[in-house]
Amino acid sequence: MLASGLPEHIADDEHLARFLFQSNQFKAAEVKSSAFMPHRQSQETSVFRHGVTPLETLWALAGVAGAQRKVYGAAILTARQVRAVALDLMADEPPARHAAIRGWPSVADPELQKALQLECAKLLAQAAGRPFLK
Amino acid sequence: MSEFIQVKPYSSGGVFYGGRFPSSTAKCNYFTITQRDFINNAASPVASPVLRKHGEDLERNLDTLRTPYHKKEALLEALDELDRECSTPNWDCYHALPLHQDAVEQTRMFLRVLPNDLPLPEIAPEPDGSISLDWSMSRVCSLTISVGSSNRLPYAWLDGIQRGHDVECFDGRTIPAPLEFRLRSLVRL
Repeated sequence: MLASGLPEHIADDEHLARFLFQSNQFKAAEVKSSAFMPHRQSQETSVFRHGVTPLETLWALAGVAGAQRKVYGAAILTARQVRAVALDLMADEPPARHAAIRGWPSVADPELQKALQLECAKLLAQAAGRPFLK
Repeated sequence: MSEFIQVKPYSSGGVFYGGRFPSSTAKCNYFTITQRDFINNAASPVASPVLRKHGEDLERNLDTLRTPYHKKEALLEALDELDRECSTPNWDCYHALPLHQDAVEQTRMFLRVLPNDLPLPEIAPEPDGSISLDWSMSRVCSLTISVGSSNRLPYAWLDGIQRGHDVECFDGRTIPAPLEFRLRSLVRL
């Protein structure tokens, strides 16, 4: 059991929130793939193990993730949807409820690697659908 | 009847017709009037129904020329704004890198040479300092190009149950043919 009280293993039906801090990375009807692209060095995408409700907790976590900067909303998807794209999920606390999407495609050619990752990110964005806006 | 009519869209948003036509005294009169005046027949040199017809035809043709021109200018301005917004590290609160200036310049070149009959993309910053160009026709039909500091452009698309990715070289003058083909097939042009 983690400090947050959550189990180490992320169940398939758990919801994950990717907070949106940049207004060009989404529009009302969809989240863009760029919101899910991994960090260049760590090759991970940071998410929080939380769904839409309760709202207060969701936005409190956004405050932790963004150091109180303005959050526009969150892309919400399930662990099953992440694994369906052949990506891995690992609990990564602290902070509480934090997890990382790992296992992004890795090849020697940097542009080909980016193309492969872009395809995965597009599938995640498609799975997330409409963002939940604040 | 006019001998010629020239049409030129200006970045300020106005569209002007200019030309000359013979007067009753066999001298050529030159005119430059606004499009709206032309259509409304408000300017005396274009009272002729023939010229009015020209104006209506041109109005229709201009819709296909003028709209992308102004939208492209607006998109280039949005690119400048994005560059300003994402010029410092951590703009996404996930430790993103600032936009790479080569990526910004290359995006500008790409948008300038994008054929006018293709829809314009939306732009978004990526955490590694690249810029995404997104064409989203529907939730299941979209294409994204990642423009970075290299002239090799990674891209990926979803089209119903089909999907894929590739990399093409961009010479700064024309859109790579396979990429344009993929884009046209997605937007059904």
